[in-house]
Amino acid sequence: MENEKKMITLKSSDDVTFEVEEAVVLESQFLSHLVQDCPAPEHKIKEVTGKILSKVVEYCEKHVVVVVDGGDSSSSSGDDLKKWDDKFIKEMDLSTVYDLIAAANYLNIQALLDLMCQRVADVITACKDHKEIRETLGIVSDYTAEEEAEVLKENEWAFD
Amino acid sequence: MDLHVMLPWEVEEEILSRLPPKSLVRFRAVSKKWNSLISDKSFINKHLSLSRPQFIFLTKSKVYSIDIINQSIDLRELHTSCRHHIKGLFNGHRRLNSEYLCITTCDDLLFCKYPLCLKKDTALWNPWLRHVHWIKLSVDEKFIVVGLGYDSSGPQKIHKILLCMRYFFHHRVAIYECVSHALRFIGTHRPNDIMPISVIDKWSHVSLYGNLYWIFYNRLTHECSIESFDFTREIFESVCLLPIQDSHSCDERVLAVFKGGRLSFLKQCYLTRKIEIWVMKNEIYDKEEVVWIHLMTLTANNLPKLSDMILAVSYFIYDETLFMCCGDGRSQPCIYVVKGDMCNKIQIGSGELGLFSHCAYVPNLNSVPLEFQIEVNCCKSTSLIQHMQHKNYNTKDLLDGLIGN
Repeated sequence: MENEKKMITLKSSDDVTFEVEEAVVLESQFLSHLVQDCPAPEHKIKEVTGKILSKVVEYCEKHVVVVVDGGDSSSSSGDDLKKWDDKFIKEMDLSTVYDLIAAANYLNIQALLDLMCQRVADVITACKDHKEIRETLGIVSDYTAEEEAEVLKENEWAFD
Repeated sequence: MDLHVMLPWEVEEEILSRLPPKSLVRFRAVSKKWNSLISDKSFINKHLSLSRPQFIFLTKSKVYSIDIINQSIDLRELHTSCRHHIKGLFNGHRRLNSEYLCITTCDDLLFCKYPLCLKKDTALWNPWLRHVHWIKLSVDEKFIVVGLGYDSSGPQKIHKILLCMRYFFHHRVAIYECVSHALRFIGTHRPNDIMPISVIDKWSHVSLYGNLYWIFYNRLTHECSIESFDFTREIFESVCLLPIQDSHSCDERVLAVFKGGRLSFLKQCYLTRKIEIWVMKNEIYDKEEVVWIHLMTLTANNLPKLSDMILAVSYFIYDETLFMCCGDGRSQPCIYVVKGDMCNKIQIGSGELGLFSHCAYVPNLNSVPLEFQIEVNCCKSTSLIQHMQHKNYNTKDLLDGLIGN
């Protein structure tokens, strides 16, 4: 019956192409609507670069396989997936994480968005103070020096 | 680092809602936007819904939070000033060495009470905001503090404490209004054993949306049910029968809050030690008939025998896993992480901890309700209260005055 899996080609903004099974595409709500609405063999995703799209495809392929194989979903497959996720995000620098958040947001892949947000949250939690956060995330403070000193003083108890 | 992508503010909010409360308080100084977000009610609710539950663990002299991550425990002594406040509770009570503080929750806050003490001091506490607010009860020493709840019918919650006093073969039940300090008896025709007032909190109640719930075993009919006290209508009410009725009276049964608005029910067979967990299908305020869903059966052969525990058992379910906190047969406190047929036992600390109290708690940024902050005489105008809130007011100074008296 399913000897021939339906394949779909995704093309990034910089014209890198990825051939993936339809099931992989369905991980993204945006893409599954796109595929349903216009059944073309190739879809261009203007908002996502090849580098980021390859990560997205890698993530979706991993996650789709587990759902298909683990029909009677054993807990170990869930644990394995978690390990894979951990490894997947560990290797990434923050700017890739940001790009992936933007891509997951655009393509509407909730699980990937959750994973990436958690990654940034972990980075923030690891910062020792507000200055380190600003530096790491590139946030420009809108406090005056006095205001900042006051906020810091009020919350200094949280630092010990 | 150069980040060329600007994240949409919603995404930033999403990220921040995954931070532990203490980090958030610490990082108020990052920007004004972050600062105001952290005080925003809808953000606080979102943050709460994503928070991972933990245990709050009290020994005779210290308070800890116990976070369980990947089968290991992160034992953190809670901020010293909290500890001092709690120590304050002990001051003057030390000679009553068999008595200790007992801790439960009331919504997103911790409610501390003495089950037996002569002085009726209780406290509402958010350890992660370092808010401790005392509720001093000027009532007769024969009263036992059962629990805290609130009238939720109006726009403002009106907090009340349920008290009871043994009166021959019955309990006389009274309500103490926290703000007005008014005490009044309410009529009740309940027999003694329906009240969850045992000295140790093993059979204690669970607080949900301002009402109290507990398990009641009827020795005559052998039926197990959930009973409640409704603080809005001030009545005792039977909520529903428990899902397993053929279970032995020696089986252990423990209630807990599940996913915010529901109750979960844990039952351990006293012979096989097998644990079953049931959860309510709908939120408790849903006035439909309660429907129970069987969530999991846990069959690990090294499960602790809960009926042997001298002290309370508290638990929560997170990520399809049961997390339990209880003393083992010799009362040494342990955390058990149970999933399927696996049970991992982690001992809390070492050596003699003495008596302890604990509860499951979801860390959050909710402050103690205003009415308790107003109670202290020194603030009369709302602007002052707002000022206190805005300043993230540390109540230590106010409390020191109270404790001193």
